[in-house]
Amino acid sequence: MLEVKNLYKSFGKTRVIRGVNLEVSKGQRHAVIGPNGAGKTTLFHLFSGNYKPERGKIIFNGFDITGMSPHKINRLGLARSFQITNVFKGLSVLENIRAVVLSKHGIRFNFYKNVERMDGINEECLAILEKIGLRDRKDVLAGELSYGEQRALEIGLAIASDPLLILLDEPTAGMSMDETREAVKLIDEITKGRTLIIIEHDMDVVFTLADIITVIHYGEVIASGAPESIRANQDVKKAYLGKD
Amino acid sequence: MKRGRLISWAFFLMLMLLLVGLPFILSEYYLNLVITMIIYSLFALSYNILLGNAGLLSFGHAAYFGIGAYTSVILFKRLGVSLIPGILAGGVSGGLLGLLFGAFVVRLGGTYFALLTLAFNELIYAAAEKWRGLSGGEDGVAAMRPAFHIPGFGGIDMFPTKNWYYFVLVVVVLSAAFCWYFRKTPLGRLNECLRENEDRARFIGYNTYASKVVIYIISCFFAGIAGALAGAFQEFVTVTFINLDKAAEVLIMTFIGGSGTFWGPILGGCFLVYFNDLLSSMTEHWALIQGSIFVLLVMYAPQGLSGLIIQLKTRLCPTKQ
Repeated sequence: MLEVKNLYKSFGKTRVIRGVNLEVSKGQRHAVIGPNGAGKTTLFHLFSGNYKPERGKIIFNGFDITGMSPHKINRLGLARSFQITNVFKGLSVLENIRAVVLSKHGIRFNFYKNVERMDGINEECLAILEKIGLRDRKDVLAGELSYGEQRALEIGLAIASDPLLILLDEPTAGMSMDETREAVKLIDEITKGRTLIIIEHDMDVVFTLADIITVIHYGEVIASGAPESIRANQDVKKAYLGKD
Repeated sequence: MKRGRLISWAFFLMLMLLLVGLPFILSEYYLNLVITMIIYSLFALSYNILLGNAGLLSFGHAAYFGIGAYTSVILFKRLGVSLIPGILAGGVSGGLLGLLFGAFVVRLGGTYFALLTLAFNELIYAAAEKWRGLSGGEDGVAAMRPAFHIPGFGGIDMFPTKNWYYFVLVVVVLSAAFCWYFRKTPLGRLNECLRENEDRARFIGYNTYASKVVIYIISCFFAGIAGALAGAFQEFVTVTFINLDKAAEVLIMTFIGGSGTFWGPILGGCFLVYFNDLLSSMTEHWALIQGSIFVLLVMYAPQGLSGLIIQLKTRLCPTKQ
């Protein structure tokens, strides 16, 4: 599904990503962990087209997406969420989701149809809202939702296009224990059978959700494998779990 | 919800009845003033697609108004084009110029967008001033507005104010209806997404640059239509159609009326045209008063007149949400 070969990215003189190789196969739930500043979010920016890599290749579902613009990558079936909530705050919850669903159906430049009357589209939106638990809140402005609800909408925007690959960037960031538990349940449900890459700091979340864990440290992959093997890995302990 | 919609329709119908009846009530002078109000309402509506819906502050919308006016008047004069094709050509010329300039300006946001629109406006102004052979320079171009030809029916003379009023009314109501409907279409909704969070729109599959160019063209098309109507109305066009005063005027109208609602720009357009007329008959310092009102509104009622009306409404009927 996703194949990353020898990826490099620098900002000025700082090398943030140094030769990352990664393979995510279909249906896998892959967690990327690592200390702050390890380059995890930069990787997502590279995969989703926000940054252009210096060197290396990113192959997604058979397409070379290296250096492609974000909207093209998204149309190929790769969707992402953001670490810092990044929704359309002045629009209603329904409209947030509808923007994604319209785009998914290729309805992007239409200026003669009334969106309120597009029944198929609206039903699809309501089904997604049902899944993320925001159906009752559909007419509320996204900016007026509680933090937990905004995070759910953030995930909703990523899954609404029914993507082949979902990238979730710290979906539980800033959440309370209860909210985190709810969020994990939600992510677990909506990503069943899909391919997922998740960046997460909360180890409970990682070990609940992930089939494979990759550990990044100073822009390099220092370990990759099943959760048990990562837990036992000495390098990882030193770099990341070191204090324990 | 249903009751609200009923009230809206009733309000709309009453407004239409009033507009249709105006020529029977008003004197020639005031009918002319209403025509100006209607034309400028459309100009402000086109502007609000950028300011209110897209959140883009343009200082150069007069360029499209002006080119629409020049196009129609020059076509009437040189080629003897009839009314509808002339007005439409004004809109198309606005749209084409919007494509040309929009391809540059929408790449940037905020201050740079504003400055670039200003620069392009000056460019068109300079062209109109210097290209005497076509535009007549500061002397401008004059042309009588042609009759309105209906195939198989003959022509309707546009010289009587009443006829011209109805023609303008139909064109503006149709254009305004489109602007109203546009906000409900996928591209119109996207326009608001771009205002809220352009960056996120890219990550859900929108080519935001191309979308903004298309939206810019639509806005410029209607500015061109408004300009064409204004040119045909005055039967004369000169560089004052393009200068910065004109560019500022539409901004002030939209702001005074309120950019947050559909009716705001219409209200602002009517208010400013009427007020300027009223004040200019009383004092020659009317620009000073107009400026003061603008300052007061920006400071104390940034939602404009329509915002004040909504506030008043919620205060009068506090139970209604």
